[in-house]
Amino acid sequence: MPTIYHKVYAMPWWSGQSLNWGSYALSIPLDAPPARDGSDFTFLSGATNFFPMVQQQRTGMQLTSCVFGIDPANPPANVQSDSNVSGFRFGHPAETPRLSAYRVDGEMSYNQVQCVYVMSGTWSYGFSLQATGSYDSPLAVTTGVIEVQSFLGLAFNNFIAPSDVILCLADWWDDERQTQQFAWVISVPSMGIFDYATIGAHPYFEVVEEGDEPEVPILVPDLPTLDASSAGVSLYKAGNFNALINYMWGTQDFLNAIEHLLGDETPYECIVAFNLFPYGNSLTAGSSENIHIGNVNTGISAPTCNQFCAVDFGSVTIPRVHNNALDFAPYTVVEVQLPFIGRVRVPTDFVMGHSLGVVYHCDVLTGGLCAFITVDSSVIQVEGGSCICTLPLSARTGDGARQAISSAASAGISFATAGGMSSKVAQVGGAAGGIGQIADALAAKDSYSTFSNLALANGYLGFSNPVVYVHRPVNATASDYNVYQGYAASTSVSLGSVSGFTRVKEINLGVSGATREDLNEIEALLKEGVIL
Amino acid sequence: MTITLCNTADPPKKLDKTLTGSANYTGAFRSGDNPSDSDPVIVVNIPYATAVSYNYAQFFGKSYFIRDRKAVSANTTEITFHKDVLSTFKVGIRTNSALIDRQQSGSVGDVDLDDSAFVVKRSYLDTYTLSGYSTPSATIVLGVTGTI
Repeated sequence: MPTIYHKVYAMPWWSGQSLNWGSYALSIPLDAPPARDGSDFTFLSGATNFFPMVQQQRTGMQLTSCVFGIDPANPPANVQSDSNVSGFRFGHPAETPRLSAYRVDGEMSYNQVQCVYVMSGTWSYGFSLQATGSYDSPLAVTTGVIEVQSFLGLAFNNFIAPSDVILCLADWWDDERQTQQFAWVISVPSMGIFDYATIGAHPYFEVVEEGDEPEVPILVPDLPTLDASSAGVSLYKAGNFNALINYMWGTQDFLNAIEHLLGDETPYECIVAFNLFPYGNSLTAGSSENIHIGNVNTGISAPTCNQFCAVDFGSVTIPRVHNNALDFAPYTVVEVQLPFIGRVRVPTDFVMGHSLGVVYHCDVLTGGLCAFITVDSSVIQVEGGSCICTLPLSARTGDGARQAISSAASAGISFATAGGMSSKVAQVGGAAGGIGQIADALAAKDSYSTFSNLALANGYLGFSNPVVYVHRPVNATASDYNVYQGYAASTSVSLGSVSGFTRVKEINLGVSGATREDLNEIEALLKEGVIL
Repeated sequence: MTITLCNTADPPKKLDKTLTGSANYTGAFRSGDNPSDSDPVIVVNIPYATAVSYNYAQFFGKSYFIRDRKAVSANTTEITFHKDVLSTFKVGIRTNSALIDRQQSGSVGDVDLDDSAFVVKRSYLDTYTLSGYSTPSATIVLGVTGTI
């Protein structure tokens, strides 16, 4: 059975006609909860798009809860924070029409004071009603703010606990009725409140078949939590470590104090990393602590830091220029110059017209670098590199750093793709006409040198930010070619509904009074292209 | 029979042709022929010099291209016709639906479909920086093992 998803649109929930919202909520006996508790409910994503409203009815403070969806064309534009009440003051200028919410049935029968429940999952604001009104004299909504706290017994300006949920749309499978049920749910465990109201009228929903469900973006993962600090490695960041160097070389105390050396190594082997990390402003400094080398407290303090950090370079939308197929592969090629990696190609069809972003995850201990290339925040490509510049402490460590750079240079081809646009053109096997000709023409054009071999110190001397290169063709197609050749199409039409040059691919032709020879000739002409 | 001779400047593959200079003449199928519906040969009572001024004809409710003319006598010309099936049956043609692969209108055609009609020359380079573009500040990282 395919997974069924529901997208539910605006649906009002009517509680008792004359009930005060507060009394309704508090009427639930705490020792006799409803037949279903919160664990049975699945809070639908997007439910926070529904704005619950407290509807003024008749006179005074009798308010009926109801929920309306948002008219996308008229979102509540006048919501603003109010520092005095730590909540949202909601209203509208007197001269503008009352803000309305979108409803399925389209009716707006009562004066309404709208309020906003911020369903952030962490806290929610309450509102206070500053004026009363009547059916004939509606509330002065320019200052209308609903004091829900008084109904729920919460102190003013108090935050609701993270587990509390106010008026979310939920659904569950009703075993008894063998049907999906929808309900508005209020759940305030900190107050012992739980209530739900099934939606009386049928909500509008779409059934989405499996395979058509909303896409789940693959986001940049979180940084690892287990790092070298769990293995006795401490990391420090600083602009310079001259004081430490002076301590190590300038005193006998350091050599005398080192105990339990491993093998025949010098005490300096306790220094496992001494790197120049280019993105220091992305590396958060912790508290300053004394540097311990081996069992020696050097007395030199420096801010600690984590082993891993994320560097977010932001994003850019790759704009279309030609507004036709020339914006896509194989005509247009998109490449990203990645610091410490080189130039990498990204799939043009994925990025064109979308937001392309780059996030680096860096290991300041080993220099390991993982570059995430995203499209609309979803990761499409991952590249690796090395982002540190090793600082030598001795001749041996200096040689090691130079060898590492040399190895990276010879392996640099693996960090980046080579060649220019010509090598990027996919040869379309068996293509007739223009596509294959264009591919051949592009293949004959010059390629250009790579931006590779950029690991380690080479990369430190190069770009520090990604740059996106878009190779675009110059369109030399006649502007009116559609008159003589038509635009490419793939659709079925009634020939009476189109005009101008038209070429038929397939047709089951029938014409009254035409002989078979006539039909054959007509079909042949239609497939060559005619002017309707 | 009556034959309407006229002219058209429209492309042969156009369904709706504009006809000018129409004139009616009498004529008959060439003697000895089994008259053809698709490619009739008709002897028309007009001089050859008059016949050459026409390229199109209509008779028996159908439209025809003039394919050839032969002078028979001073006032008689033998004209070979070919049926213009597109104009003759244009009403019936338009009642049909079809799968099309090229169309003049951008609203019917899909400009994002790859098109063999594209012609490109050269290429140029656009460069873009990301929104977080900044000058980073490097730092030195020291990693040590030892007591904490």
